[in-house]
Parts: sequence; structure tokens; C-alpha cells
Amino acid sequence: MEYNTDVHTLLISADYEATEKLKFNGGIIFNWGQAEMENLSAAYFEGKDPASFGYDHNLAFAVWEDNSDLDIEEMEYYIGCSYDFNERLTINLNASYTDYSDEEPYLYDTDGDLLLVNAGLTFRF
Amino acid sequence: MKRITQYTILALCLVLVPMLAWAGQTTGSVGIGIQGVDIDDSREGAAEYKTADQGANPTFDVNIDGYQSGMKYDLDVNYLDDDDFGGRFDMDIKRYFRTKNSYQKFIHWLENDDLVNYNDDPDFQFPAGMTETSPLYVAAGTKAVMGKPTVMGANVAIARNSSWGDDLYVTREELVSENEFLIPGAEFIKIHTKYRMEQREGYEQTRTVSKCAGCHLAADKHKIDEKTQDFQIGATAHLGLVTLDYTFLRREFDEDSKAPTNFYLSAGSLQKKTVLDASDGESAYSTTPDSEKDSHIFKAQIALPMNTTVFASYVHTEIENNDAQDVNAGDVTISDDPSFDYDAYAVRVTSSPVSSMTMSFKYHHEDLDADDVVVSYDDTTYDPQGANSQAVDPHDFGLHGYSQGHDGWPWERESSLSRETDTYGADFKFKVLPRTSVLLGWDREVDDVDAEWEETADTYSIALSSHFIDHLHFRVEYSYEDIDDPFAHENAAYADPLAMQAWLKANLDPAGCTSSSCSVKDLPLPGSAKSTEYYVMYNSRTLDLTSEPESVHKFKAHATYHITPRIILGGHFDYDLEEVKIDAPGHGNSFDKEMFALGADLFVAPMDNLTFTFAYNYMDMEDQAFLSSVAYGG
Repeated sequence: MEYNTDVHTLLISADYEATEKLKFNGGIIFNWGQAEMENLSAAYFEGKDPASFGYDHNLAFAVWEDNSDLDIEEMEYYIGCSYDFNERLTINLNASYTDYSDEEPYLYDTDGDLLLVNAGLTFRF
Repeated sequence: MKRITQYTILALCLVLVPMLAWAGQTTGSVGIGIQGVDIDDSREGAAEYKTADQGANPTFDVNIDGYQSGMKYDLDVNYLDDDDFGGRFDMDIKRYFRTKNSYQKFIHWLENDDLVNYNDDPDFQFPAGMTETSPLYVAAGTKAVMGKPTVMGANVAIARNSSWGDDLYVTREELVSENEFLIPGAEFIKIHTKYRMEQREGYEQTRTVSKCAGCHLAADKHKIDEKTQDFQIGATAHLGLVTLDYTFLRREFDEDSKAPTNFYLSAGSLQKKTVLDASDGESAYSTTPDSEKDSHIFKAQIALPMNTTVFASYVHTEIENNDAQDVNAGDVTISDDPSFDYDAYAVRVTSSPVSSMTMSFKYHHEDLDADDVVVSYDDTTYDPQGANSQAVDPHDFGLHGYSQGHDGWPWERESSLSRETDTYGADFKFKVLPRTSVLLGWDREVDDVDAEWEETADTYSIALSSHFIDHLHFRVEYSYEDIDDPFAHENAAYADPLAMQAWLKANLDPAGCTSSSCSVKDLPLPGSAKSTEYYVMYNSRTLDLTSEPESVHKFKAHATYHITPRIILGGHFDYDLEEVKIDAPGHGNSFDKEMFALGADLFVAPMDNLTFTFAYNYMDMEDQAFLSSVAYGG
């Protein structure tokens, strides 16, 4: 039995200072993970005839490999900005969106997406 | 509770900020905000470590940093949710008292396995009686009959998740407080203490078999209420060229939730063959015992002439299982009082007699003594040899094989953890060019396991690290590990599976045997091989299997190049090759395990007010394993 894993991670980000008071940032993070069982060989030697089960042993062995397949794609986009009203007061706005795709669900489908929006005031002293 | 926490943090902000803002050399900030959350579909992937309550939630953060009258302090608090907040507080009072404190809490959403293991194969169909939303699988042959609620027919495979659809999660919180005191008038003595608390609360999935073997599965959620506490106190004395340190550590682990229970199904005519069945009632499984650990740690360091330092240490540790007791599960009794004693001695000498060379020599001895376990098995019902028999030698049945080394029941099972480990080695660092060093190393680890196994591993390494070229730094490293006699599963596979198969087919109970004349008393199953699973099949395996390598090659390289002050390029490369050698004809050949990783990052600042970062990482890993298992059908 062989087990292979491949993981790719990519990040692109940028920071931009439009003025002394206004700043922007943004980026993309991409994760792609794949794993699979290969060449599973289950040679078995029967001591007696199998009992009359309600399932097929040969079918069970045939799909065994596929049950361990993993194929996850996660893409996160984020963007933010801050503005300094003065030396003491700043407003921050940030948002991120994450799209999580489970291309080979084996427990149950974990596809989902998340949107986060943050807004805040910072007072310095 | 949530509102109490929010109001407490808000009150802290309102009181501390005006007070400290007036104070002389104090700076900081207070932030208030709002977080909006929207989740579609499953949150276990997209928001695995986020509290992520739908809707809008208030957020706070506070930072205070200051210095007054010889007292330095630094405070940070971040609050997103009752299950997602943290902070730290550090203070130094004229160096006579230093404290570092931190607290962090977060949540981890877990998956709820329905036990279906379906996939997106378009040909896949749920078995009769089971759907994605009703994960109860009953696959019945024509003979199977669902009888009494606690008794299954002989040929029924069943999978049941009793908590399907429930949220499963664990919140983890950690509190750490480290403190140091200098004794006035005897400042060469420092008292140090540390307290650490880690708490896990929530629900995890637990699984067990519901009847016999792995065809019959049951899952439920299990409440988690674990607390680990470390209490540490010690003293350091700086006595000229000698530094001495003693630390005492007590670690307590408590699990306050009740263990999950399962009502095991009786298995029709196989009833007497299973360890647990309906007659045992609700039976606990997946229990986590409380435990305690005490450690005494002594360290000494001596500075000698010619830039030479000698470091020595001794550690004595005792670990106790507080809940250990004899376990009587059905017909099996396990006498178990697991405790561990651990002693370790270490010495290391480091010297730089000339500026172009540093050398280091080490020796480390570890002695781990784990208690053995006594297993009793009341086999009077099943054993064709009579009560309390010894292990059977397959040669008695005309088979080759080995005889498992025990003399009947009770059997003392020696712990595979008990061992003595010796490690010694040497490292040399030579400065061969300006800002360029070569490192050479060797160490040997001899692992002598009480359960009759000794593994020796030699590791040789060479590395080159250089800043010789302006703006370029790189390091390349290669190590080779040669392992003599790596650990293996002894007697794990059949040398001649066909001989085993032929024997099984030639040794069947005759048709018409009765409960007293069949080879297994009270289990009249004419046509079955004679008690083979207990007394012959396992003992007939003679080949060793392993997935541990005999040789390991590791190559690492990384470099950073400042092309211009505005452009920085970095990269890394890792390759590991493990060569596993096994000699098990018919089961598998020697094989390799490989890991390859590659990455690059680029920082570019085209203008003073604009920067870009690009990064890419790739990892490829290939693993392999062999298994020879005895499986039973019904």
C-alpha cells in the first residue's frame, strides 16, 4: 500500500500607502492539498467459504483506496484599509472571504465559505 | 457568561486607559469594533479555528506599554468572542521581580463521521436501510434476523452513529505565568516559578465496535473536560564560574467528564465468543485516566579556560496513573498499575581553543522503566486443549511456525516502553573562509529495549553556511543515518500462506458435531476450522514486517539574496529519502519513502509606498506500508 501526499501553497500580497493617513492592504492565499492511497493489494487466503454477508467483499476491497482520497482547495481573499483622523484616532476596515472546497469527501461534504467583515476605531494615548 | 466577559473587558478599558494615559511614560491604544460573520454550508473547513457566530459581534483590543519608577509593564488584550480571546501581561520591577503571563483561548470545530465512508463515485449507492441523513447501516444476509433488541442475527453488519448531526468541537485555553525573584543581598541566587494550565472542553467523537470485530461499529459524542496543570519551582545560583540550577515539576492531568458507554449487542450463536455482550449491560469505553508526573531536574555548568564549558544534568521522573485498576472485561482480566520511572544523565563539553574552530562532545543516558501488564483469560469454555492451556506450537499441527512465549494464563506482558538509551557524539565547526563555516557531526544512539530488541543508529552530517558573497546567505546540509536492526513487527506474516490455507481446509469440524463434540465447546458450527484463530493462525506467522528504514538521507538548502534594497529573493529545498529493507517473500519487497519540499519567496518594493510579496511552497510525500492480518468472516 502506497500513500502519496501533495501540498501547494501560494501567497500574493500588497501594501499601499496612498497618503500619510490612508493605507491599503490586500492579498490572496491559496492552499491545495491532495492525498491518496495507491496500489492497495489485499491478497487474502480463505480458510473456509465466506459467510453469506449482505455485502460484497470484492467490492469493499475495490473501493477501499478511494475512501482515503483527499482533495482540498482553499482560497482566501482579504482586503483592508486604515485612515488616521489624527495622531490619536484611527479607523480600520477589513474584510476576508474564504472558499473551502472538499473535492473528495469521505466523511461528509465539508464544502463551505466564510465572510468576515471587521470595522473598528483605535484610540492611542 | 458572554456578557459578563464583555463587560469586564470594557470596564477594564474604561478604568485603565484614563488612569495610565495620565501617567508619565505610558503609551498604548484601545480599540473597539464590530465583526460581521456569514457562513454558508459547512464551517469545519472554512472556519475550523474560528468561533464564527453568525451575525455581528463586538470586539475589543487594548495595548498598554509603560515605565514608571523602575517598574516596566506591558499589557495586551484581544477579544473576539468568549471562545476566542487572549492577552499577555509582563512586568519588571527593578530586575528583582520579573513576571511574564499569557492567556489564550480558541475553538476547534471537529468533523462528525457518519461511519458511511462514501465518496463521490457516481456508481456509489447507499446500502439498504442507510442514507446520508440516516447513517444506520444494516446489511443483512438471508439468514439474518433482527431478533430481540439486544440480540443480532449472526450475519448482520451494522454501523450506527448515535450523535449524527450534532456539533463537535473542543475549546482550548492555556494560562502561563512565569516569575523570577532575586534575593536582596544575595543577588546571585534567583528563585523561579512557573504555572501552566491547559484546559480542553467540548465534545469529540468516540468509536467502538458494537458487537465483534470491525464489521460492527458504533459512534457517539464524548464530553471532554480535561485540565493539565504544571507547578514548577526552582532556584539558580551563579557562583563565579559555576552555575547550578534545581527545578521541581509536578504535572497533574484530570479528566472530569464521564466516560462514554455502549450497550454491546450479543451475537446470536457467537454469544459466548465475544468479550463483551448484552449481559455486561452499559460498558464504558474510550476512558481517559487521570495522571500525575513528578520531575526533579538538576543542572550544572562550569566555565573553564580556553573558552571551554562543561554542562551536566540529571533528571528523575515518576509518572503515575491515578485511575489504574484491574480491568475485568468479559472473560479477560488485565492486572494493570501502569507507572513509569525515568532517569537521564547528560554531559556536554564545548570548547573553542582557537577562534577558527569550535568542538562539542556529548553523552546522554536514559533509563525508562515501565510496569508490565498481567493478562488473564478464562478460556475454559472454548479451549479444545482444556482449561488454562499453554500457547500452542504450530509444529504440533504439522505447520512450521513459532510458539508464542508464554506458559498459559495468567501471562505477564512485558512493556515495550522499558528501555535504556545511550547517545553520544561529537560536533565540529571550522571557519574556513571569512563569514563561511563548515560543520561536521556524528552521533550514535543505542536503544536497548527490555522486550529483547536493540537498535543502533549512527548519524553523520556535514553542512556549509556562508555569507562570503555580499548580499547572499546560503546554507546547505546533508545527513546520513545508518540504522542497524530497526524495530519490526516480529512474526507478522506467513512464510507460506498456501500451506496455512491448506491446513485450514483440511481441519474442519465434521458435519453433525454437537455442542460437546465440536472442537469449540458450546459453539457448534460444523464446517469451521478448529479453533484456528486462537491457537494456530497467529502462531504460524514467522516473517518480520517493518516500515522503519535502515538508512535515511536528508538534504537541506536555503538561500536569501538581497538583489537590491528593494528586491529580496529567498528559496529553500528539502529532500528526505528513507530506505526500508524487508525480507518477506510473497508480502512485499524493500521500498523507499520520500519527502520533497520546495519553496520560493520574492519581496518587491517598486515605490516607497508600495510593496508586493509573492510566496510559493510545494511538498510531495510518498509513504508505504505492509500488513498481514488474520481476518474472520462471521
